[in-house]
Amino acid sequence: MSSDGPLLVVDGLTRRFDGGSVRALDDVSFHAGAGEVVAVTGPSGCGKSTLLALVGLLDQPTGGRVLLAGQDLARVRRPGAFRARHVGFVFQFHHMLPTMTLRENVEAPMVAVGVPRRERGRRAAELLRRVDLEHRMHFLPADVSGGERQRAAVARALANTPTVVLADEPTGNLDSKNGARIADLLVEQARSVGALVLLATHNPDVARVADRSLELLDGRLVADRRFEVVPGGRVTASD
Amino acid sequence: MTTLGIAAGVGLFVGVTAITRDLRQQLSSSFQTYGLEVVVYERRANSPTSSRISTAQMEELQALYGHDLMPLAMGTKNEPWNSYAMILGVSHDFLPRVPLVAGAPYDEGGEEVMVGEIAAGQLGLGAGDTLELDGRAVRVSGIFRTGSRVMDGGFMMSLAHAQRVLTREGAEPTYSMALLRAGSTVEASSFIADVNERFKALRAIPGNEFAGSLRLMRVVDAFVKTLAVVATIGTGLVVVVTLLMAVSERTREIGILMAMGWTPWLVLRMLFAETSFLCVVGAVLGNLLALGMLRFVNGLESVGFGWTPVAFPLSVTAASLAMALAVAAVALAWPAVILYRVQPLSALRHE
Repeated sequence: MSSDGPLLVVDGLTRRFDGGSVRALDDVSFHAGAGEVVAVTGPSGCGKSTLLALVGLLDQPTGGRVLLAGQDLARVRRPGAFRARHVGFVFQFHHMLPTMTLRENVEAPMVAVGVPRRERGRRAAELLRRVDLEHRMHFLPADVSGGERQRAAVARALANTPTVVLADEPTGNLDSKNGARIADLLVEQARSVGALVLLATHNPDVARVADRSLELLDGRLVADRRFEVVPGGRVTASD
Repeated sequence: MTTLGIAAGVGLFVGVTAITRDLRQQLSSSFQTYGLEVVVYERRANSPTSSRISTAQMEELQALYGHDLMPLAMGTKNEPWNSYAMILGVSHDFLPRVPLVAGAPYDEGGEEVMVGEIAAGQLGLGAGDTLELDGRAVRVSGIFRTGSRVMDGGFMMSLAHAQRVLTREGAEPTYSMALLRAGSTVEASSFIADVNERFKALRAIPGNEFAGSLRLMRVVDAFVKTLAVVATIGTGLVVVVTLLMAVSERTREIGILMAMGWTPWLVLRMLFAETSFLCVVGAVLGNLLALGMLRFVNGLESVGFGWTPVAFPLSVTAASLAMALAVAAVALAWPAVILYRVQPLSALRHE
């Protein structure tokens, strides 16, 4: 991992489908640093999820490149191991493993990096405590509320202290109150471990928890705004 | 359903294996217990009870090899109280080798029988009681216990008495086997060679090889092996189908795990742990099922007393568990191929 320069470099990233007829992402470039919270906004189908999938090594780009922690993702030999170590995911529909308890769900990413069982249990309990779910750790996902599932998903995403947290519409399935709480929690927890957060959302209120917003339209990056807090507490955006 | 399928396969395998192993072991141990070094029987016989040695052949054998050679008549008799009552006709000099738990040896000239402990228990007989055998009332002179369940489920009497019971009216009385005792004056290997040379219709064989030489045992062995293969394949198919369904139904779950960095190998390991659990539970149930089956069969009137074992050694249980685990491991091959082709992103989007 390089200590200099941005943590994430996205350079001319392009993803086409159906033999090139569909451009999901078209020549997108940006940089982001450790501890930064970047909202990726835009309407449905603008390429937010595709961008996150490419940064998370779940998909291969048609063109361009992604550098994460100094590593060119095109050259990563074992994507699974890289994801386990560097990437935490929070999905829209929580994607909790239904047959595992919340604690086992949080432990699951640690299995991939070979954390011993006892240490896994200890860390999972601590992570669940941080999202106020200590009392629910032995519950199955089906037995807790949507908000609690998503809080557990945040804990799971941070299980291996990732370099980057990719959150794809993490509040999309929640009411505004719970959504705001999850967004705040995600940012707070990610910052506590110094992770970069890419937060895909079409909800402007959620996007306001970020330091910066990337707006996509039809696969192209059309705006890169940085939010600033001014005296008096108001949050404004500047290009 | 998977567990029940495995239980059925394992139960069948364990049950049949237990019966055949037990039969073979009983035959071998009987010969060892009584120090019977060589067995002479009809070459084409399928089983001990179907072997026929004529009176003329037995007289010739005894003329050649003396009275170290013990004749034996055995067979089954269909009686109202049991369809396969085991009748054993032995010469009087064999009697000192039969341990009695009650009463006395049969009287050579009288209508007396000795009843095996298992048969006595089933029929509620004791020494001095009367039993109807072959349409005649016979007295129970004593109760014996040899340790071989087939023998202890039978009725021991004089040779002439047994021949009369076993021979159809008008037919010539026959013997089943001639047995050479260890320590006799006749040397076993030369005796075997000589009998096999002189008597083309008979076969002489060391006592410890007798069980394996019987056509019945060979057929049963082949049947058990076939059954083992069929049970293994059947169980394997059940497990493969279950695993394929698991991979198909849990595609999204597998996608989530892979997104978190799990390798296909780790996912396979998880599936193996789950499948092994099912297989082991199925194997344990199968063993219990086999135990129940054996006890049920043992209680049937149409089965000879003591023919069916009511328990089986731990080695059979261990073999069935090993088989179940091996099936679980082998059955993973197909799902493994599918797993190695799974793309996490498409798995996550799987409906």
